[in-house]
Amino acid sequence: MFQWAPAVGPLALEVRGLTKRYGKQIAANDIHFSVARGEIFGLLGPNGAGKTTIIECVTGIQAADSGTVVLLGAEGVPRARQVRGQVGIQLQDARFLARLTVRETLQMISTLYRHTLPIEEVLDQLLLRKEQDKQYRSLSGGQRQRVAVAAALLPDPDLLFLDEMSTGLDPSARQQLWEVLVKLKARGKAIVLSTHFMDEAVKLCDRIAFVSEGKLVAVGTPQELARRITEVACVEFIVAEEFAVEKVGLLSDLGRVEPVPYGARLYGPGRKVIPQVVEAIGKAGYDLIRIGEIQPTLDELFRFSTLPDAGQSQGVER
Amino acid sequence: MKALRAVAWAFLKIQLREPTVLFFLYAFPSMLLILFGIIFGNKLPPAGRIRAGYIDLQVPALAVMAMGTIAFQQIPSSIAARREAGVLRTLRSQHLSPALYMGADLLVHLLMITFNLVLMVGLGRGLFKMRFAGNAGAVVLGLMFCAVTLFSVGYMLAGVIPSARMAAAIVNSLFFPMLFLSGIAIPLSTMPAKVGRVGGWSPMGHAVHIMQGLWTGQSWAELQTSLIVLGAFMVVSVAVTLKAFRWR
Repeated sequence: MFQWAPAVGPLALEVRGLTKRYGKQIAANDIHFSVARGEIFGLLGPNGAGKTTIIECVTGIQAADSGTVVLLGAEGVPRARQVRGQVGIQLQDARFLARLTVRETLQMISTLYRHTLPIEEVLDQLLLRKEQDKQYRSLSGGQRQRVAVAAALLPDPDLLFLDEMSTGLDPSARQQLWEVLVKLKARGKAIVLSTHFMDEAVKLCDRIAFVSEGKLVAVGTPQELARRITEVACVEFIVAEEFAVEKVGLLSDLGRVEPVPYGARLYGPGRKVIPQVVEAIGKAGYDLIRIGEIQPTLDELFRFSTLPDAGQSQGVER
Repeated sequence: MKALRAVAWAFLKIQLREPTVLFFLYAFPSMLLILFGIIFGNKLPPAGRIRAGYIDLQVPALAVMAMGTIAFQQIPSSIAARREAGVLRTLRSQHLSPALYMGADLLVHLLMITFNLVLMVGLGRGLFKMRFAGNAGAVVLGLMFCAVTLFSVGYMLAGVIPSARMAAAIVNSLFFPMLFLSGIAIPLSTMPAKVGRVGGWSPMGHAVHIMQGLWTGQSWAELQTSLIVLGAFMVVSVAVTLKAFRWR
């Protein structure tokens, strides 16, 4: 059974029972998690899983339908005013005013906070010195992304939300940003990082929550998740011709089936079902070439964990 | 206050970097004034209650045209485009409050309108010996009242129009009829009575009436109908804006 790790130390953020609906669709479903000061907490999941909704509801950009959020000790609606300036937010798809330069944008934003870092420091951290006098509309996607992160870092926040910060960044900018986040963490800052990059989550995060269809399906340290890889067994088989999963009804009764070229992978039950699978494939008229247990990669684990109704509430932090 | 100044300064820079805004606020009205001045001159009419030449009435009317350009073209389309691109949502996430955004936007637009009037007065005086029979303080007050009212209609439209594409269609279909029926391009007195009455009821028509009235020395009391109508427009627009304005 997958174990979850609770936040350790004084909390920067506590989310209890957060729910958000868009019509009949539940975008965030009874979300519980907490983040300690000095911790990097990852929200990992595919596009459309609900990561952005969770971040926007937690930060008050969208109103949640129900639930409680405690930001830096402040709870309830007036929290935005109380802790304003101590919370930095980088939205996914952030866009700034087209005809302002990078420096002008940061200058304008700096006046919205009581205390900010020197603009030069933030420009250097995000490798934006050369672009500082360029208008926002003339920046590339990666440069725009760096401006968004720079704006979030500007108030030197105690709690920082970064929503898909690495999207569009080249490897060196990404590496530089990772170093910035590690330094912030060392200074006791709490960071909530939403990403769909597995390597980023594993490298940076103290704990990771898998998000699927608006639910946190699992929360744990990267080490716990690595352990889980060995717990999630995967049987792969290859046959001699194009394979149609639906022809072998038994497979989906045994576990989760993911098609691969000329075969399929069966996640869940492990090697004990191999005889049954061999028999079922034979009965369906396929010539089996190879079958065996393989170790799923972290990425496969991620996909497995975010399949519909995977995990139920197991591993969800309460 | 520091934030309002900084945001307004940033918004002003944006406006000054928009060539189309500068053209329609300054170059186009200047061209019209010069053209009308050459065609019609600025002689006093032989008789009439209001003793003013064509240019004397055209200068305040062109100030209203500039207000209308901002209110019905600039405000709804820029807000709709920024909302659609996610700029408003991003600024909100940086704690830029709606009040601060609107306050800075309003301040910059009032400044740009004031500069338009200064330019028109300069051209009118310099080229056509424009006359002024009103009270400067009253004209400034009237300018602010008319501008804030028209802008509030613009913010209302920005709040209720769902997309940038629709904004262009809706605001153009409102602005151009108002422009021609409010007595700016063509004096209302030269139009058929029915058309003149319809035009006279548009907010821009009332703004022209107020501005020309104050320019030619009429009292506030003489302009009370237009003041009340514009006041009503302002109340309704602000109420609808507060209720309907969306940041995403």
